[in-house]
Amino acid sequence: MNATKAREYFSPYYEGDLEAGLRQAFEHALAADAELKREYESFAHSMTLLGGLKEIEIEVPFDLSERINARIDHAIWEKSQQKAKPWFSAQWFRLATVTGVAGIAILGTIFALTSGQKSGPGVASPIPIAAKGEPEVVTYRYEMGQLWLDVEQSDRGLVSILGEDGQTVKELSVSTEARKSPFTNNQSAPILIEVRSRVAGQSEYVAVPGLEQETQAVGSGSVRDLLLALSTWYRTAVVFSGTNLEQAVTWEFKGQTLGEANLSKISLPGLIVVSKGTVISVTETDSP
Amino acid sequence: MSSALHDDAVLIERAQKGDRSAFDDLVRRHERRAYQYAFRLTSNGDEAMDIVADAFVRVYNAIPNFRAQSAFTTWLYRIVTNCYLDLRKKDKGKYNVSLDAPAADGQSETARQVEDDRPGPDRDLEKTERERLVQFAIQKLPEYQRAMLVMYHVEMLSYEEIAQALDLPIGTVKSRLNRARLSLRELLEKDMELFNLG
Repeated sequence: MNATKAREYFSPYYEGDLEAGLRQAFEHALAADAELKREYESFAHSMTLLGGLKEIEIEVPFDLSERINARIDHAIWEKSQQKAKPWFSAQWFRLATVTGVAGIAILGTIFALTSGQKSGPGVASPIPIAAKGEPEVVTYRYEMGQLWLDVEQSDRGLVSILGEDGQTVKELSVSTEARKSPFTNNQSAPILIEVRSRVAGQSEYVAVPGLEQETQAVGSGSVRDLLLALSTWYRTAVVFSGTNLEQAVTWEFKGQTLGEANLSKISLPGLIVVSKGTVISVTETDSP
Repeated sequence: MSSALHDDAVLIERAQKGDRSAFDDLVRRHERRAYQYAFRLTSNGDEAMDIVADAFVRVYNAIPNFRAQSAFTTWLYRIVTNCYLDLRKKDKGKYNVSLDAPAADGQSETARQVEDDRPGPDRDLEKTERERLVQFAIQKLPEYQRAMLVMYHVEMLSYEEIAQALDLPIGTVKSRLNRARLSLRELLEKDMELFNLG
């Protein structure tokens, strides 16, 4: 056995895996070659040192879980953007061009944008998202089955639209001009989105009706359920200014359309429900 | 099936049905081990963190298709190794000097972590010095050899598990591991003044 061949057997010999014949030949080679023997001893020593490495404790960063979760959340968000790409590239760009909207960067969405729904168009009477005295940031209209966000800001900013799981599904980058972005919920069920202005630091929830029609005028559940039921019953968007979506409420709707509705008769503790233009506004008050 | 394997199996099944909290539990159970492995490959905390985060994203995306043909840990080693190799591929051609990378004197972050300034017996200092040299020598090995050595000697994976993790026949694992050890021996020997075989 020459030295090159013998080196191939360093590991199996060290681990006692060589069969008798080979072991004998290997030991002969070592005995006949002092340099090879020295190499093997050096090899065996390095194996011992390698074994010691496992005793070295590696400190794990305290924010490891956080970083992993953030990366996973980001990946999910990116995935949702990729799914929305066909819609963005065709429908959105066409509509943006038709309506003369330019310069809006849209990074993704879960919405399917169509104009198939019918709803009583009315005169737009936008609800400002910002509190009194602050610059108006986002206003809402619901016309021709579409939710319109009118974004106006004095400075360049970003409006995020979040799905129910809290993940950002769309971001609007806006500049100084007024922007208009129509949405249609193409699903059968109504959906609840969160619209958040990073400049104003405020957010609102908006329920957008789906294709199905609510058949129950009377119901009970959380504020979230109420918003979804309202949007489906009256076929319009419902803007919620508040934070407690889980508060328990019961309701009874009057009339089939927003015009027939007497929303002030909907008595809900801690909530003010009013019709504003083409949408319904639900505002949380301080005392329930 | 051991209790740990059973727990993993339950969490994986739930995660496959879309239960995010089950997936998070799975991450918590394995993140420490994954990080330590990644750190031993890179000797760089930031890189190790990136590798582990990327690995768990891959796990998240692939878990619906995980069929438990190997243990979850073995699968995770495979993914972490691939993330590490991908990172190194990306870095090829770039000249990056990390503050955490082994310094010119061969001192790596790992070595710094185990150093103890308190006076101690000479043999402890010598032991620390040797561990430091071994770490430094490992960092000089090609990535694939490094991964194999760490898996076997530090993470204590069997040849079978390494074969599964790297998708190689056991014979290939054994012969490549032998070559890695021979390379390591040569590297260690080059610093005979510090690395005394006595």
